[in-house]
Amino acid sequence: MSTAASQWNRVSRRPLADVLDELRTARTLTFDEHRRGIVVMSVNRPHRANSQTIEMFGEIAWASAALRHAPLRALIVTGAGGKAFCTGFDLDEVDVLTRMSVSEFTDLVETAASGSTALRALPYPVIAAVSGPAAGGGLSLALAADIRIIDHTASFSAGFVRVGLSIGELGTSWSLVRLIGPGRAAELAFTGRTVRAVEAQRIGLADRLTETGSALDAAIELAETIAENSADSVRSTKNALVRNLENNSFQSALEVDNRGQALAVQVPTTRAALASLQDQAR
Amino acid sequence: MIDLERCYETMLLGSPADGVVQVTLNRPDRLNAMTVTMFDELELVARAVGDDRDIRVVILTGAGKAFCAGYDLDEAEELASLSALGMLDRQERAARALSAVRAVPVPVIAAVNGPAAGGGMSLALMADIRLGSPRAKFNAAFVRIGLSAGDLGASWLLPRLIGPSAAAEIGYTGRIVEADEAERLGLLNRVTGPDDLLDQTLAMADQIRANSPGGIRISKRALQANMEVASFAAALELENRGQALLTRCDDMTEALQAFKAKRAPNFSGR
Repeated sequence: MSTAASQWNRVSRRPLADVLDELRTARTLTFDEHRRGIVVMSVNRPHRANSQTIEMFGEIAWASAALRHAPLRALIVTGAGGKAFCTGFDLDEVDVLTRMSVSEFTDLVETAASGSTALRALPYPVIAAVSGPAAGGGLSLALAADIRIIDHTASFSAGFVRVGLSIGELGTSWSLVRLIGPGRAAELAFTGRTVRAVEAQRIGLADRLTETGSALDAAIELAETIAENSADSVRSTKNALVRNLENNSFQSALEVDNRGQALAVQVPTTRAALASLQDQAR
Repeated sequence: MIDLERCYETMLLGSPADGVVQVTLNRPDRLNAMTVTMFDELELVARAVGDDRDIRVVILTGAGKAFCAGYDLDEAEELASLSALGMLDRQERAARALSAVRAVPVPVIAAVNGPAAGGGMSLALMADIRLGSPRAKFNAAFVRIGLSAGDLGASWLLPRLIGPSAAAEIGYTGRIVEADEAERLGLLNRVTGPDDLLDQTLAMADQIRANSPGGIRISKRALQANMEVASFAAALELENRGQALLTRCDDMTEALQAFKAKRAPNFSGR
């Protein structure tokens, strides 16, 4: 690690090189900086269709906590190899679950859930670039992103009920009803059926459908477009969207908006942008 | 065990497949309009379903041309003569029946075979999933008879299902929403062919029955509860507990053994 790491106060943004040095010790995830401020995190078990292991749940939780301090404009989550996004718990390893004590299993789900929570809470947008299947825990991972870009090979399924588990995992039951409504969420949860790309876009499970093989490129392009806007504005916007989705009170949501907007005007870049608009109007 | 032989005045019970109970509203001459007796019977049947662990899926449909035309206007005439609190009693009785349908622990699929108006639309909203034939149509007719669309949970469920803007339009105009539009809005999961509504509904029930009973039950409760829970953290806590519970049941182990042996799992629900 570079010397800057030792000087990091664990609060401020850390130099990206330091964050990446740390995260590149991961065994189930890879990290690539594509453009300045845009990092791609790949689920990296392509030989097993990017399925998940206990170690991966731990690494996603750890990485999303470490990324909180990375000076990024956007994080893209995808599957290595482009054939599968992430196919959920590796069925060859899932045996472990049957041998765990209640306390060990609770450790696992709480760690895994902290990954979903931390991804949702990152102070910059998270975009899922989905090629191939996103199943079970892979669906949950895609749902933890703010935006989902998919290509024609993408598919989604909530296979939990096929292995005796429920859709109640990693925030999926909470996210899915909000994203596609209770009727469609119930159908997908109870049948475990596979939703192909075109339907996924139609029902709002995906935000954009691109040509085969181009989901990651489209996600990077979107991240670049977002990065043209002020980092503070995008952060305030993301926080308002994420938090107000959990806010039952319209009044309180307005208060969050109002304070955010008042604060945004105090940011020098916002002032400069407003001033130049005024000049143009004259 | 539910008694399928028992006679009801306003509905027919049947079992079109193992573990599937079909409840058919049966007042076709009155477009299956709702009466006090129907509310009471709906509640009874819903509770009986909840007590029967062999039932995996409930199908709700209407006999004849309509799904359910809402409160029977012949009986509605009487409403004007009820005292304010007497009307509240009546309303609460109806709400209890529809809540009982929503509280059924297994998936409820509404097979919407024709018009679902007023309280009939609210009843369709109680189901987890709605399939409709091309003759299915929805009408929040409440405002046309001086009542409000705030009836039997519709004002709560409709905006959550199709969004606040579409719900406002449908609630304020009282206009008819045909099957195709209903599918586009998400009011119907799917429009079937003209003659295979029940076949497609049964096919979906089969797909659901192939999955683990415990997983489905915990999934349904998680979806319902976590739609009502604002906090993501509280939702995760509920999920974590459900999943931990399921790892203590037989079906996960069975699914894994079946996977290894490359055979279909045989779920016991224990």
